[in-house]
Amino acid sequence: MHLNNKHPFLPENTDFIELLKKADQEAFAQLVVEYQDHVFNTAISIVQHIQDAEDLTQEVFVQVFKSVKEFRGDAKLSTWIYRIALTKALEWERKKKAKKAISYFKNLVGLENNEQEVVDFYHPGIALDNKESAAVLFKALQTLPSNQKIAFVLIKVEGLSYQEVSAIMKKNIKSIEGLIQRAKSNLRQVLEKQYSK
Amino acid sequence: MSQEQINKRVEDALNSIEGIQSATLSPFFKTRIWAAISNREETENTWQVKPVLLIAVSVCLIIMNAILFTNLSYNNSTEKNIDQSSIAQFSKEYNLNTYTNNLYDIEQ
Repeated sequence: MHLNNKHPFLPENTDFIELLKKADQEAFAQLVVEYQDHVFNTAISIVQHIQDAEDLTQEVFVQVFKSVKEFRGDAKLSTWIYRIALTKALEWERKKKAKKAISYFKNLVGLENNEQEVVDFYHPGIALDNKESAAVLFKALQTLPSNQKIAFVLIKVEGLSYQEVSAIMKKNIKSIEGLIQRAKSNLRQVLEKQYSK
Repeated sequence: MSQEQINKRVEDALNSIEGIQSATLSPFFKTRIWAAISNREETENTWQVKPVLLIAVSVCLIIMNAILFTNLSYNNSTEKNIDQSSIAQFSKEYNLNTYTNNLYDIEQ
């Protein structure tokens, strides 16, 4: 199944949303089954760690369960879930960066002495032939500003349309196109530097 | 490495995610999510996880105590004033001297 060919989102019918609001366990299980891979695939591309992405996916659905009562239906349910997933993923990244900085500082001062080695990330959905190249690309992805990274992941990895991404990021389609262009250009620069070494 | 080779590798890297498959989770993952939701609900229902409530109750208690204490000390001081003024008036009416040290005043 190629991501660009799928859009198995649940019918955004109000009855289903009402069941979710009533904390119906069966409806929620159906929602999880339908969206878990989308959330996981988005999360794993941003946090680039399988265990972390699983924990994050769990957190996203707990948040969805808690907040679905406040869902007003202004956006599609899928859009809303993607927003929660992205917010959580960026929050997760910020915390990880902060932890890294503290650990670096502790190493510097001598309070701690455990060097954290950077491990290459291999996305489970990448074909074996492209494994190494994709690992370099995912590493370069980490250097992009958040907006560019999100747009790139949603379009190139998750396979969403520009229209869907514009709804998720609350930007017009032109802005999303601009973000993708800038992301590609920045990635090209980083990769060139990487391969020139 | 020549510039041409670098360019080729850059293009390869950029194209490496073409045809990427979705990373998938086990269908039983929903059980884990449900367990997490149930756990969170349980802990949220306990008093321990509501520090805001605890702080609010403590602040209320402190304010109530402060008010009670202020009122009590005010009442005590007014009662004292009333007592002293009534004694003074009584002693004045009957021409009594209320100062205790006068008892030992031999010349009076």
